[in-house]
Amino acid sequence: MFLDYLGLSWQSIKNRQLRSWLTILGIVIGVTAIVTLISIGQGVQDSILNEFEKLGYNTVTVIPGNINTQRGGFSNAAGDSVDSLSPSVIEGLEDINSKGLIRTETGLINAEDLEGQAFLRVTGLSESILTNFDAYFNGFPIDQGEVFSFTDDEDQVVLGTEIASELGVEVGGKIQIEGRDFTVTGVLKSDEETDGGFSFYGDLDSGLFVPYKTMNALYGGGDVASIMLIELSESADVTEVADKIEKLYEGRDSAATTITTEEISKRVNNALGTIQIALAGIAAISLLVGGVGVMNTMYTAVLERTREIGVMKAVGAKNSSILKLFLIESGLLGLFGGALGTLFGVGLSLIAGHFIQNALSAPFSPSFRPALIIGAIAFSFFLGAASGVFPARQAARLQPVEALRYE
Amino acid sequence: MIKLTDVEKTYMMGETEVRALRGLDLNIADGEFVAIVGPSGSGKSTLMHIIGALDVPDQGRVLMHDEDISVFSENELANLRGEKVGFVFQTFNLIHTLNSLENVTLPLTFQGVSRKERYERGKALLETVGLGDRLEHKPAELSGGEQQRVAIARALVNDPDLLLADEPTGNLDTDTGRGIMDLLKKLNEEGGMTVVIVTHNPNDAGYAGQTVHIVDGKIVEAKTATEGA
Repeated sequence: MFLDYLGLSWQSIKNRQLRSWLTILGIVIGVTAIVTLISIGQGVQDSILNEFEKLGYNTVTVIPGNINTQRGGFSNAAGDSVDSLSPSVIEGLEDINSKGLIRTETGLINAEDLEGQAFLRVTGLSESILTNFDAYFNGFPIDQGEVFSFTDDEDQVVLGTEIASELGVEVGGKIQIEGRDFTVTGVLKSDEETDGGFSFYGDLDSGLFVPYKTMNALYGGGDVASIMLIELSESADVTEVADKIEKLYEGRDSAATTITTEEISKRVNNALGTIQIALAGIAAISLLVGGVGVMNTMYTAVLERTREIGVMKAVGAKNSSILKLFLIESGLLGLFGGALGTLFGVGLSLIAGHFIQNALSAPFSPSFRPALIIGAIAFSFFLGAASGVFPARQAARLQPVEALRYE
Repeated sequence: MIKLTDVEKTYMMGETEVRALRGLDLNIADGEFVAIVGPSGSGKSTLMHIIGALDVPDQGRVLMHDEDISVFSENELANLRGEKVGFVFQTFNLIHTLNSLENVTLPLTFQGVSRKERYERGKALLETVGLGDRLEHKPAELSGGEQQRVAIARALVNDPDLLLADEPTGNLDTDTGRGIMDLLKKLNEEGGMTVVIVTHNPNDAGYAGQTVHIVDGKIVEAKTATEGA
């Protein structure tokens, strides 16, 4: 019986094609906007989370200072600005698989081709950084030469591509850091050459990298790190260990804040989720207008077909039969709008994704979750049907005699 | 078959109250051919609507096969119309988006009859009314007479006990009108179907076994064909 009603409703839609298409267009525009915005937003969210996931969910990043302070800055318990922490504090803590240390200082640099001298950021890396946490440096992609040796006592440096060209050195060349001679063992790929992703460290192109212990030799102190990355055992409760780490630093000269991948994921999800909801909400307004269009069309249809409704009732149609006919009809308008809108939305976001990819120079693809596709189409059908409820009820309640008398 | 007792019906036409039926009594026996005649506004159509369960009286009783249908719910009335009554209208009232076969089988669609059975019954009826070659034609592609035949086929598709026709020849030329009336007469005589027509046309009324003359919502004269002859 449903199929018969579907057939009757379809006939009626077909009979007023232009009006039906215009009504469907209203839904199409709304659904296209929603599908485009959500699939692109979801794509952005996925690619960001994907990067964080490269670090691993069992990684805890420890940074100096209390990031949660009211003043919003990095500070220790006394409120002074801090930029380093002591790695030794966490020694003996259970569940730690490996520990990577990063120490950053501003170094005085000299080079043959450099006029005068320059103060530049110098970063020391412990070996485990490149074996266990290379995602932090986007894989630490070497373009020419190789990574410095962590065992040799010779002073070696790896340069970002921009710094290398500014200092006018190549692999095998020499520069001076704090008056000491360093051999350039490798030059990193430029950000543009890497296959997408990003460095948590920041701009690799302008970096100077040396082994961690060389940093300690240059700047003194053997127990200093600017950032500490900790990989926990698979069985560890990441949040619990992160809390323990923060507690260990409490009350010391250098307070510490821990960041877990899970926490970042949550924050990114929350922030982008909110933006997406807001955007989808705005797009939903146009969908609502589409729904009003369906209602308008259906009211007109009820008026135009009053006599027809009377005939149907005269030949035995119940109120519920008429209600179903009109609801199916308005639902179909919504369904067609939803299906077409989804199709256009997918097309539009693929085109937009292409532009975003070019603009970011990073791989990007919009995300089409089945829930989005099915949800958009199903929602459009229900929106159409819901918009038809009042007109359909009006049609169903018509008295057969009055309907037949209608001119 | 049908017994109306002291039936009153008033309806609003815009702002005006129209007392269409004023204490009307009528008996129609099974297999009878009845013509309701009278001037415009006399209440003929209202009477037909009440006999056909399209409307209920404000007062009085309407018995159909000894069942008081004046107290039926809307759904019960719809079922009754779907199963026991067939309507033919002056303006044919075919649904212009549907073809002949679909129009004819529409009552069966609402009763949930299978597609196959609908097709068979619809096709057979259209053949009976001489439109076996017009199954796929839309109303706009048919002449007035053909449209009225489709309407009659539609009225017959549910195999009703009672066929009601409101000015069935009103929109047709004389010859075509006569053809339609012959068809109704044949259904009455050969099929034993109770037929009630509302008409202005004395020729049409001449087909009836009983003619009911109604003026101002009351029957002023009811005579059988033998009385009239």
